[in-house]
Amino acid sequence: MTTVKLESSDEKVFEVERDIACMAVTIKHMLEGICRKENIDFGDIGETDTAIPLPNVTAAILEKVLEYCKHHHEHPTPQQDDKKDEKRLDDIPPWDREYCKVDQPTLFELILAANYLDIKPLLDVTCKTVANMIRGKTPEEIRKIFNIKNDFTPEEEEQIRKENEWCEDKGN
Amino acid sequence: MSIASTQSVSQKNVKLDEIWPELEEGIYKIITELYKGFPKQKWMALYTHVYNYCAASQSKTGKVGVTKQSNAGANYVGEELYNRLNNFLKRHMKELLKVAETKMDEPLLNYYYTEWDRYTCAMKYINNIFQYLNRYWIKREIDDGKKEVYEVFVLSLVIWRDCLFTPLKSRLTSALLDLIENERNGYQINTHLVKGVINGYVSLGLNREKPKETILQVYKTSFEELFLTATENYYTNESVKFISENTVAEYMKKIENRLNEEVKRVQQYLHPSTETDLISRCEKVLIEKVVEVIWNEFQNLLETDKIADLTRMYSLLSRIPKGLEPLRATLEKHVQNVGLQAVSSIGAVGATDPKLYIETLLQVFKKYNDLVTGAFRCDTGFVASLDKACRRFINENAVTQAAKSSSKSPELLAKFTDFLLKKSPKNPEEAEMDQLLNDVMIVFKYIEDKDVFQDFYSKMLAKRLIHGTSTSEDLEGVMIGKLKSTCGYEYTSKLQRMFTDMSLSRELLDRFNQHLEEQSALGGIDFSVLVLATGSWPLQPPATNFSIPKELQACEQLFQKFYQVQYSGRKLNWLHHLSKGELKTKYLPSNKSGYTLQCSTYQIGVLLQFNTDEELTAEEIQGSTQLIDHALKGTLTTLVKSKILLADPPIEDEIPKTTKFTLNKQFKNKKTKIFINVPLAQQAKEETDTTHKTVEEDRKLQIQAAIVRIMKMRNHYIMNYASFSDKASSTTQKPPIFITQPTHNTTQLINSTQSSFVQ
Amino acid sequence: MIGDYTNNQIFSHFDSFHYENSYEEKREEEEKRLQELADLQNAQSGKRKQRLVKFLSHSRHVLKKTLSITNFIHTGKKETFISRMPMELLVHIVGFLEYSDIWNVMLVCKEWRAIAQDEFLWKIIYQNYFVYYPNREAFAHQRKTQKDLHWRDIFRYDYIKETKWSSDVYKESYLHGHTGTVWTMLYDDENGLIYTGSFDKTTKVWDLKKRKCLYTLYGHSYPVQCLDVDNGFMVTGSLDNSLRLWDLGKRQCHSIVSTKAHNFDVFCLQMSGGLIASGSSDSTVKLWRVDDLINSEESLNDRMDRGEPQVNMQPLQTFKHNSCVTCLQMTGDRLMSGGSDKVVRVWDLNAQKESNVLVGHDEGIRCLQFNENILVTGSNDTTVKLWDLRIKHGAYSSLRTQGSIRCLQWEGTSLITGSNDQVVRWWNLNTGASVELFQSESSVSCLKFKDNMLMCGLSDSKIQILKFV
Repeated sequence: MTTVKLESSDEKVFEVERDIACMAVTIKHMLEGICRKENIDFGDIGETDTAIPLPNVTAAILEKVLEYCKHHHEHPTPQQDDKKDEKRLDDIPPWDREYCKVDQPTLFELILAANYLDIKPLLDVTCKTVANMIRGKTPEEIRKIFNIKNDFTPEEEEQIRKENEWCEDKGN
Repeated sequence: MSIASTQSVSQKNVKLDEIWPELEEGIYKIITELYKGFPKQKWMALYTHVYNYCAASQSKTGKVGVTKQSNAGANYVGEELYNRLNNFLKRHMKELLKVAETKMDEPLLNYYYTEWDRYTCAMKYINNIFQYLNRYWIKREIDDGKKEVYEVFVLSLVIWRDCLFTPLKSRLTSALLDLIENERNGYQINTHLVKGVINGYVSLGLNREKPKETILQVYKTSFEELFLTATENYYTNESVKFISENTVAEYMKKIENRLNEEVKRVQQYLHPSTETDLISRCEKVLIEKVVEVIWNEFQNLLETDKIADLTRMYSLLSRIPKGLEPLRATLEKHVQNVGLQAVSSIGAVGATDPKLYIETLLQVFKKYNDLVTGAFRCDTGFVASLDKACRRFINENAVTQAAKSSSKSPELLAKFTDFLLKKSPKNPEEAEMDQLLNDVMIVFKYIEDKDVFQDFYSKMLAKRLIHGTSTSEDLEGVMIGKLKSTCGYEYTSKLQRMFTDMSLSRELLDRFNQHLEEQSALGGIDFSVLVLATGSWPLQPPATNFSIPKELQACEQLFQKFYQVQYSGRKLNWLHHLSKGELKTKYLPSNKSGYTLQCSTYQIGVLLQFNTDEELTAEEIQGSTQLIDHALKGTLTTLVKSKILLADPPIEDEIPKTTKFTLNKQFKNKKTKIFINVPLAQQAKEETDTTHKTVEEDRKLQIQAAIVRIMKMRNHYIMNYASFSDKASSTTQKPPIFITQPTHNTTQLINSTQSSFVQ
Repeated sequence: MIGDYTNNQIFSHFDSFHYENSYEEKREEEEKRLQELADLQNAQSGKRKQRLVKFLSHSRHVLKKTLSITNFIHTGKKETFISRMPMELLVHIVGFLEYSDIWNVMLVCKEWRAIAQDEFLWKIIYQNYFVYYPNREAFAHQRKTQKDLHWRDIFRYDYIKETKWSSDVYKESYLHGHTGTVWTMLYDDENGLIYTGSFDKTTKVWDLKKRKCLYTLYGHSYPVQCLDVDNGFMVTGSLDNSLRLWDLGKRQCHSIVSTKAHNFDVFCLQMSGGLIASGSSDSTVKLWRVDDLINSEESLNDRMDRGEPQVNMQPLQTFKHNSCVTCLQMTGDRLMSGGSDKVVRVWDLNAQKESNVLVGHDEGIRCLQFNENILVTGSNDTTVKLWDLRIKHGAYSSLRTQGSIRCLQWEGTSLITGSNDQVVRWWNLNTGASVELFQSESSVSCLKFKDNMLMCGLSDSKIQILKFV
């Protein structure tokens, strides 16, 4: 079983199974020997032991990401064929739900890391978690949750409301 | 759990100018010297640059205003990076082009292929580095329907196509064509190179709608068309030259090889879709254009029996439309001629030797049947030609012409069959029999007058059955089965009935014998009878009266009585002329044990007179036997000839009524059992004639019946003669048992109208 | 901990949102709460909104509002994490939300507003809300506007169309003329015509605008049970077992396809492209090819004048049910028929064989309609079932009413049903919510709707037309 070494931005090195690391499409791409014709695995030339630097991910987050990869590598989710479910917010599996119970900064860092490393399932599940935080809230509540400043003037706000009058179910 | 102290590294605000130099250098390295390897760290760094630029450096406060125009929504970042990459690649192409323009022919191909290989490899790599750009900015632009934005790898192909391939393509293609021509001329070429370049053509056919798939447009327009034209030219020249210097047989070998070569060529380095077009073009030039020359050779090859060449010719000509048609006619004529010649070479013997005649026919058939099923792969057209030819020479040849009757063939065939099935020392082995009977059926299939055959056959069968001279009942059954499967139930129903009659008679006779035992009525006479249904048997009633000798009367009457008890109301007609019996001599001093004479009933009738009288005149014999002159003469002649009776004066042509007959007491013979036979030849001749006559009668009846059917159908009488004739032949029987002739119809038409169907 | 997940009471770390796994099961409890809420709303905002609220309250968002009290406020943290998200990720996140949340997102701040305006976001929203993926070009063509309609506008158009049904306000009118139950009806949007077939053995053609009958077609000797119009010709099926073809241009009977098309009553039929499918209580569905017949110039009268016998065609194909066939639809090479044998059979017209049997209803099926992969069936067992034809096992949703379903029509996410309790009901197929549109004076035997207009054929021989505004 081959392993690869991943180095976080704060220079901590993680050694993981190659298959697990490859759940991150970015890492997979990098490790892929592309020019098969010449039989050179470019990632590996004389530097098998060197760690791959991931300058955008901190050790804490990388550890968490790898935890996700490891779990899903061991428990692959069965393929679902129903298109409707893809966008559903209430179908997050229990393990993932538990996994996402982290504070906001961590959650957002996870989203960024998943995006950077191109791990679609992780990206979806974390984004869904955030979407669930927004769902059913008033604008003010949303601002509070995410600590956002209201930069609308009252006139602007009124105009938006007016634009949206056709939908009478605006929430309040 | 909370990571409050996160040093956010992910969100640097990145300007393109800060990262581009490093990216450019990286890309350049990958594009030019990927083979030296590319460190992971570097790869990750470049990916991160792209990521940082796209994900982080966006001006989120850009155009957000509460205006009505703000419909566009979120702006993704990437356009500028995309443009720079685009420009970079274009610049790179220019450099490559500069070098390429100094090269020609194979070096150009070599250069092009090396660079293509290097470039596509590198671009797959670079595509992954720019994956983040692909995932968001490019995807959105494509979703938005922007036709000029592509995924990075596709973009690289587009640039290659537009900036390098397009300027070079005519030179590339002609270099390729030169190489291919070299190969056709017999030189070794670098097929790997050709394959590589051509694959490149295929890859450049980009599909707008589905970027992951290619269409063959570039390959088709930039290469295939030219290639096909070049091929056509090449082979046009070659074929004209070659055919003028070589035989057609050689030429056919050559093009067969050429066609195989081209198929191999496609497999080796062209796109599979080219095969159909290429081969059809080759066929056009190599075969269609010289097809007449090839056709002309056919007769020649047939005459010299060049099977291998014929096979080749068939397979070549079958490739082109209508390539085989003239050959079919030629074959037909040829086979017909060969058949006719074979028959005339056996001459007049053919008419009298059925075996020789039939074997001659079969020989011709078999030879060409092998050709058709072998070299011509059972091609239906050729099978039809063979059939037509065979039908013609079998039904009309020197022998039938000599006999002035097309019914000669069925007659001879029936005789041949009789020869096979009749018990004789010359009978073939059991194992051969089936094959021989099949051969009979082959000829039978071609016989037009199947009714003639039927009549002869049934006569001969009747004889074999009555006289018990059949080789085996099984074989008879097999033969009838074969006829039945060819001509249907009706054709053989009479034959079948004859069989049934035979077994019924045997049963009846058993019962009769039992009956006799109970009555113990007949002393000394062994008596057996066959009861045959009138309709099924081709038997003539006796041509003469005959009064049965009193010695036999008892048997006859007993049987008659017995039979009437069993089947009242049925009438028995005795066919004495077909009966025979055995007599034992007791009057010969030379042989005490006596001879057994096997003779016909008429002969018995005559001889038995001499039990009471020493000497009898012809008139006296006639008086007691009631035989008419003709029959009496035949009977007496045979008896005299076989030296049983002595005539005084010796008989010549006619037998005067006063001629006296006495038993020849000096009779001597080596055998103890003597057959006194009727003169066969004469009898056979007579029979043949009557058979032909009966056939004629049967046909008349059938045609009349057909005419009546048609008239009933049409319900009026005015009818175009031609259509009538057709109609008549099609309503008679299926499959046609005989071929109607126009003369038949006209006379029949008159007959049947006269015989007044009209109401 | 894991075991608890089935129990819906688990709240997230943030305590701010509720993971719903089994909305359906909680329905009753919810309904009670909603009723209270509705009452409250009622008192406050007057009756104009009453209906609307009643409808909307079925959707889960209102419920959530009552539950979601925000606890998550990280006091003292100035940094807003979410603002550091790249635009594409914010769009990705918002894309998981439903349209109703988007309004709130718009009002958060300018940046969020820009995100909520995003073209592709709305495409996603549309696809989430409506059952189908729409085709923007087709939509623009239909509305006769130029191509580049913002997805939000497309959404808005369809959304408003739907919400009209929840309006209290409608105009009502009647068409009088038939003297027996109006069994079957067809609406021709382009020409503003309504075709009706009735128990009184006649077929009538109405001008919708002028509200009057244009002409009446006589011929059947028993009630007309079903009809269809295609390309200037109408075909009718009747309890006299025959199929008749009418030339609408000449306003007369063109021919009788077969006097004995079926052994018993012809219950349902459809004509398209010269092909007629007819279903009957003799348990069969038959296909007839009539394009040659249509193309022949001769009318029934011509032939009768010449004293020639009627053309009695032979069916092209016969498919068997186990019991009376009550409804069918034929689209492309697919034919579906429902019957008293409680199943819908799917026939492949190319292969000429049954390709699927849909089992699930407890009583006979009365009506069906399918489009692409979605099939809706109404049955005597008082339910409407929704089937996704790509999924093999059974219906994915079941909607219950008080009476057996007589007729239905659906378009987009709107479904309207008529049942024998004389109630006409509007359903949102996406949420399963429903509104009682009205209760008619007599039972509804057939209905058709287009945009915000609803037409019902009634057993008291009237045709009722309602226009919602």
